[in-house]
Amino acid sequence: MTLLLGIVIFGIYSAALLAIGGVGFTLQFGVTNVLNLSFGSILTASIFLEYGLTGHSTNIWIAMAVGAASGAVVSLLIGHVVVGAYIRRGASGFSIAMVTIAISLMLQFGLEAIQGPDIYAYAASTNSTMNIGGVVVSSGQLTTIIVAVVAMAAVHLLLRMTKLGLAMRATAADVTLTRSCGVSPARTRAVAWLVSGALCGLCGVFLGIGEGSFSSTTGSDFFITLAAAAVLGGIGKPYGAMLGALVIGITSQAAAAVISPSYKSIAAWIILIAVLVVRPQGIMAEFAAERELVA
Amino acid sequence: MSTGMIFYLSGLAILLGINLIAIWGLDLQFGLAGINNFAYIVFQAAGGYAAALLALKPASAYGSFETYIGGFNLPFPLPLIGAAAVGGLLAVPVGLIALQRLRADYQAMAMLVLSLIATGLAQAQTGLVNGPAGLALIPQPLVGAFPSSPLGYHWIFLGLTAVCCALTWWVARGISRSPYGRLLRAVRESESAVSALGRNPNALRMTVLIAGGAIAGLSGGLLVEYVTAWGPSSWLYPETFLFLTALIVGGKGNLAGGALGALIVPIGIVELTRRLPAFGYPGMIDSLDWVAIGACLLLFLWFRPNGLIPERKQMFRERSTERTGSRMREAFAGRRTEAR
Amino acid sequence: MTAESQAVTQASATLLRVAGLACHFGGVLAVQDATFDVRRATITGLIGPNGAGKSTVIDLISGRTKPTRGSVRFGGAEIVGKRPHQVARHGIVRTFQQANVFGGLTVLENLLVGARPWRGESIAAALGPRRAWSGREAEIVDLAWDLLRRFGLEAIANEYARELSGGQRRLVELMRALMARPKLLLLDEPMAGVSPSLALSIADRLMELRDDGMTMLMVEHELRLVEKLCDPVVVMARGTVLAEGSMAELQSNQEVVDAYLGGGGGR
Repeated sequence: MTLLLGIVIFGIYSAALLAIGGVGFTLQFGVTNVLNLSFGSILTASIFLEYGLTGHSTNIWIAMAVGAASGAVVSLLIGHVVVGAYIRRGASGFSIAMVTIAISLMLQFGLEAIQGPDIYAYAASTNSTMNIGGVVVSSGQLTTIIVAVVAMAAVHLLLRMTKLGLAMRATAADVTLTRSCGVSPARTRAVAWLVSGALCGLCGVFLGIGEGSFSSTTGSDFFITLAAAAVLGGIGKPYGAMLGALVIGITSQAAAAVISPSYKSIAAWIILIAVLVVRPQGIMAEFAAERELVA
Repeated sequence: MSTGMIFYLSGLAILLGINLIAIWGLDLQFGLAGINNFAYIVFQAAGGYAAALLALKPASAYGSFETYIGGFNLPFPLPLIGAAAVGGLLAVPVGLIALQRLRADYQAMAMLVLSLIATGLAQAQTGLVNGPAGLALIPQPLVGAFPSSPLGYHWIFLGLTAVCCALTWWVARGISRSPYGRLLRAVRESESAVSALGRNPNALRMTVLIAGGAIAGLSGGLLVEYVTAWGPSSWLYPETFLFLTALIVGGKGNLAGGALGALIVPIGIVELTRRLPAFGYPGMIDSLDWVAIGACLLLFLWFRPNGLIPERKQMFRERSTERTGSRMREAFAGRRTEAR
Repeated sequence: MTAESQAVTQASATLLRVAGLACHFGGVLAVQDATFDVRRATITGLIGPNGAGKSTVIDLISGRTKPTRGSVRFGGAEIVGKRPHQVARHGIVRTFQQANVFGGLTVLENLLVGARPWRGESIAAALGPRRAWSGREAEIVDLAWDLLRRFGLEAIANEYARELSGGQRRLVELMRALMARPKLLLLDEPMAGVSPSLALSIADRLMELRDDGMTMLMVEHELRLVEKLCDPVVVMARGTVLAEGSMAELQSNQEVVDAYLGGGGGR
């Protein structure tokens, strides 16, 4: 029974973590139509920046704020400035994928070159724990869940209640509709990169708290699992990503508990492959020919 | 020239040969057929493991400090043949999973995930190939076949590599100059038009995935027999981008471009920088290598996406209307045109 | 094809028989009930307002889209639901609304790929001796040059297809389709975006081919071209076939005139 409860609770925690990052990833894809394979390295960069800028602060609120801000800035630079330049030059979808790969290589290994391959202890992580029905949960994990819920609510409000959010939804559906919302497409895309970067940075902070440590490979290790959540739910659909995060969170926890801990990520990756093979548009896509995912 | 220098240069030549084989194999898939095989390194790795598991004795013979399957202690050239065979066979499940009509970047992501799953499984299932520690003490081919010093054996291995290189060159050249090669390029350009003309694009891509996979497997087998050790850290997913960058820089769709790319990227950037005096922490140069590779990619994708030696145009001369015997077609050497 | 179906093909005047075709697109019924025949050695027109389902019918026949129900019989054989390359092997070649050429191949290479599938284009042949296929390849090259000469386009034979103008690309796609001497040619708006003089010259070529015995099904908006080229003509609207007949007959059909010819349709 404790095993089952543990799977559920830690599954929800994993889902919370995945939701923060996954919604960021999927929102950015939905609006800009760029599959950003450097998302993982943005996450890594955010953690390093937050760690460095706050002087290893242990205050979780400062960590969240700086982490999100760092992620937003890095994401804007990468997405709007660099990738945007290649897009304006007329690069193909494959070239853009290679560009994001190149950026992630430079960012990840650049960080490693500067900081070394060491694993750092994450300062803002906490030690206090709670016992829920026999399962030991850390306060950091609980905070993650709460912050995730708040973040999802904030994203929901942004998308449904603001003009900018409307423009983002319009762009995701059909770029030509954007102008009729009164916001320029370029501005909408920039905001998408900013918001997704902020969520990415936030995810990084809580990943650091959860793992207790971080290194230059943290982001890339976690990225594909994030992508799995996004693709499962229907890439480009924020609510789908939340659903996908829940499924992957619980499934990977179950795999870790039942098979072995090293299978936690592998389970998520296998789900991603299964989705790409069987139904690339994910769970929540309405139309089969959505977004030209199938060439 | 000192013996040390000769040893170093011949070793470099061996690595160049192995990389040429791998790059030419990828060029068939990526340059000719347009398959974004971001999992290419897994084919090389599979070939490497196959050669190792065929050449090694059973784990117990070494005191069981490693655990792995197989261990048949087969003599040359069976491990290498096995390596190529496994590389080719692996293409079948990979192709069935990832070769459907997905958007280019989606397909790339699917391949990347396969690469990660492969690494993850190799590390997690320690009984397969000894997990993260990897395999060591892999027997080398033709040892003792001819009496020789360590340098002498290097020449033997270089000869072996050269033979494999020539074989790969012959296969790749044959494919690219044939009607089959033309069909592959057509699939690259427009799958729907190929279907409309009665050919099955998926079947065509599967055959080239198998051919390229076998070549990758061969390169893996050679690499493993040269280095005598092989573990997951040797074939992490970024290694595929080493080969892709070589093709993007050197030029895809032609053997010369691949060769130039091999000289510049795996040999130039990676091997030659190994010789620099170490600074920073151990492995810092490796990290900077990757930064350089990323930078190269960005530069070339911006300025010269078709590489230094772009694909050659196949020209045909109009034959005079009277038949002039059996020699009916004259394809003369093509101009090197910017294939933009 | 079996001997008996071959006999059926030769004997029957109807080459293609489409019956009750229907297909959904995520809730939208693109084609409801398409039923018509295409007779041998005709250029049968397929016209109708936008959204009538004409291009979808071409996609359904050629196998690009799977129908939810209906049948397509070609020379007596049922081909509905087959994949595009299988349909093509029956002798049906199609062109696309957006000229679908191989941009990174030269014009001549485009035509070479258009030849009927043959043994020398397998990977086994590529790895074997060149002599085994070079003879047939040379014949195909000659065929391609002949076709280029007939269309007056030898000059661009060695140009990359992506560097051509829109009209030239359409011609290349058409020539490529002709390389295999198809039994049925499905043309999806072959004159769209083509200059009027070029369109007329293409029209002349098509009529020559028809007189030689080739059968064509052509989707077209330009009604003057339809009048010149097509007989009979099938009219579709809102996913179904309204009527079938010569242009003169259709022009006196009130329903057709209301739906397409008289009021808002046609250009």
